[in-house]
Amino acid sequence: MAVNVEEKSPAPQGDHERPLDSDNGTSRPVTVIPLTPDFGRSARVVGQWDSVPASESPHEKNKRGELGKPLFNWYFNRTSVDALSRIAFPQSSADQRNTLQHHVARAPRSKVNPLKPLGSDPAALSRHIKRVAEFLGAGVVGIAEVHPSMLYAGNQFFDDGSASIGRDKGGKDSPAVTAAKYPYAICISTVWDYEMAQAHRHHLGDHAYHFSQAQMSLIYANLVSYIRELGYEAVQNKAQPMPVALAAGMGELGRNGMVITEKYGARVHLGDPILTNMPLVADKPIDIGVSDFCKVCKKCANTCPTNSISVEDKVVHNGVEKYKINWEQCYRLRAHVMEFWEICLTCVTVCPYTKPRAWWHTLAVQTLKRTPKNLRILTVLGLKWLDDTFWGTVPRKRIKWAGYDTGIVPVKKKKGESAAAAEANGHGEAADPNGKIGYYYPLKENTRRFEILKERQERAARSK
Amino acid sequence: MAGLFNRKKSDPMWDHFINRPPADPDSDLVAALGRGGEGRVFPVKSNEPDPVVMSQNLKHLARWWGADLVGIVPLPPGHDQVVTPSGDAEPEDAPSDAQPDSGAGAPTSNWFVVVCALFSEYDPEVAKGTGGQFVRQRGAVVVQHLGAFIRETGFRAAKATFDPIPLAESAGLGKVDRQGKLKEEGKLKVDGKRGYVHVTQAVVTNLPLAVDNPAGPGQ
Repeated sequence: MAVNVEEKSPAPQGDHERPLDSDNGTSRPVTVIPLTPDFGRSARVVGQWDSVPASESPHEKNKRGELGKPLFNWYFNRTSVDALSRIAFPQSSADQRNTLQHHVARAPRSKVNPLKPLGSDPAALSRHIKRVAEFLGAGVVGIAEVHPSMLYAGNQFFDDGSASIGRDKGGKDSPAVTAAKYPYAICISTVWDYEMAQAHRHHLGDHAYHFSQAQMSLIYANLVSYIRELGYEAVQNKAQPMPVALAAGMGELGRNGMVITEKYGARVHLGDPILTNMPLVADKPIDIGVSDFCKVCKKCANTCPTNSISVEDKVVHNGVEKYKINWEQCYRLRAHVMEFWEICLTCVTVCPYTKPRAWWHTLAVQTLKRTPKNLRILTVLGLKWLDDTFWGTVPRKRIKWAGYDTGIVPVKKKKGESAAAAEANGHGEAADPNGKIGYYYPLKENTRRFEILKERQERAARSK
Repeated sequence: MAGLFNRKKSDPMWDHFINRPPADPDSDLVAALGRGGEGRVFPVKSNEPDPVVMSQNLKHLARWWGADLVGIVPLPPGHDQVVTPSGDAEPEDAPSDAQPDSGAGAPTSNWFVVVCALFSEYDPEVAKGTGGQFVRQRGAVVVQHLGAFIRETGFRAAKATFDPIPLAESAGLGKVDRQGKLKEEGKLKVDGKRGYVHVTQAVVTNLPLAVDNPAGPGQ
């Protein structure tokens, strides 16, 4: 059965077929794509889903002013007080020409080579593309078979400051048509510097985030050019990064709404995946125990300064069972803290998977990965205890980097005292030596979270 | 690290990536990076930084952005370098002689050159493919970031338009060999061969900096 590419609302069950791209169009092998995509254990499709319109993404809503004046002004009218921040991201800049993204976004678009110099062996091309991406600086690379649920309804996504300006503005195909046209998605991530990401809620954390984003835009631009050079089409701004990354086995979806990878934890930056008609071999979703860990850990939920991360179990949203964050609550914070920092990153930093690359980190993840599912709770409890003991419930590390100083007295541990106990005893607190810019300024930890929940429940009970 | 693995053997397509020049010149992003023009100088100068500290910070940033070696030397006379005001926003106390001296005489004391060198597995003069040319792109990114950062601190900066290799030697980054390439002797080895350092570009600036000792090693 050939796929009906005009199909607008796919059925929740069953499979359909679509032709794979071939060199000359004479032979068209047919593969069966499940209508229910496999995102792994952390996000399961359990019902009817709809492709999300690109216009409903946070930045797009904000550009229309639907999130209020403070956020609108934050997006369009901000100039960072920090010189390095002004070159890190176009929206924070005084002059966008001082940002790398500005130049990458305006690079001319190369043409598709009419020849296919490297042939069309899917396995060899997949290996090659992954190596090329890693050579260009990608931290994690994955290939997924495109499913309409991964694509934006409306089929395109333009966000200022991304590598999308002036590219691929055409396209009115439905997600099903696009999925048939470009059967594979290549997703890459760049990695935030571990030490700098420890300085969450500080300009240093912003730099780790934004410069990796700039690097990623360059890698994607190079990769798109190279794929076209190999004689295949490559387009961006049509697919959502999260589902593609999950399907491509780059990681699992955590409670904090981030893709958690095996090597780097949550400190990765996903960009707009490349859709291509290059014949490739898709990767499979992985299981590194994120679902089991997140069920117990809840560190991100307990420390989120805006209560955007739920402590409850997974919910079904748009037909997908997953941990759902309150993105709007998270997003709204930005307008009120931009004088001090731009990107929170606390949920990334506290995540036990986010650790430097070391043998003990690999050992811990591999242990969890290889533990039978019904016994994982024991491994999780052990690893959680280790994490709390050695790293503290909230990482608080003084970071000095290129003239910046996060300005916190490091946790002073007494002999035999755990980091968590030291924090509880107040050693982790420090006055902000620089006045305005300092660690955790101006927010405090969300230590009253459970009390607030309890109070709410009591109020609700009283009102009944 | 990448050199430890012989990609050529395990990936028969690797040679194409490294050596085959792209059919479409638009695939080369280096040209695009230089085409967009420089941004304006930020109208408010940062607090006058200590030159030594600022030099350390600049080197730190350059290495973080991808440079392997960074050195700072005064801009010697005779270098035909023009640093344009780059836009309409001038620093309030910009010197009237904002253009570096391009004539003969003593080195221009208040202009400096930040020279960045990047190590490459492949010689971009020989390897014309996307991979072979990638080091040039990395260099362009470092210089773009450095120049932009200096401009955002309120000082002038522009990509050097002259060959910075002799200055790299002056900054102690290595020795220029007979082929005119900079080599950091005895340190980098890839695939059993002596690696080389490819000097990409440099930034000329009037930001007060501490120069490197020409006899000593660069950073």
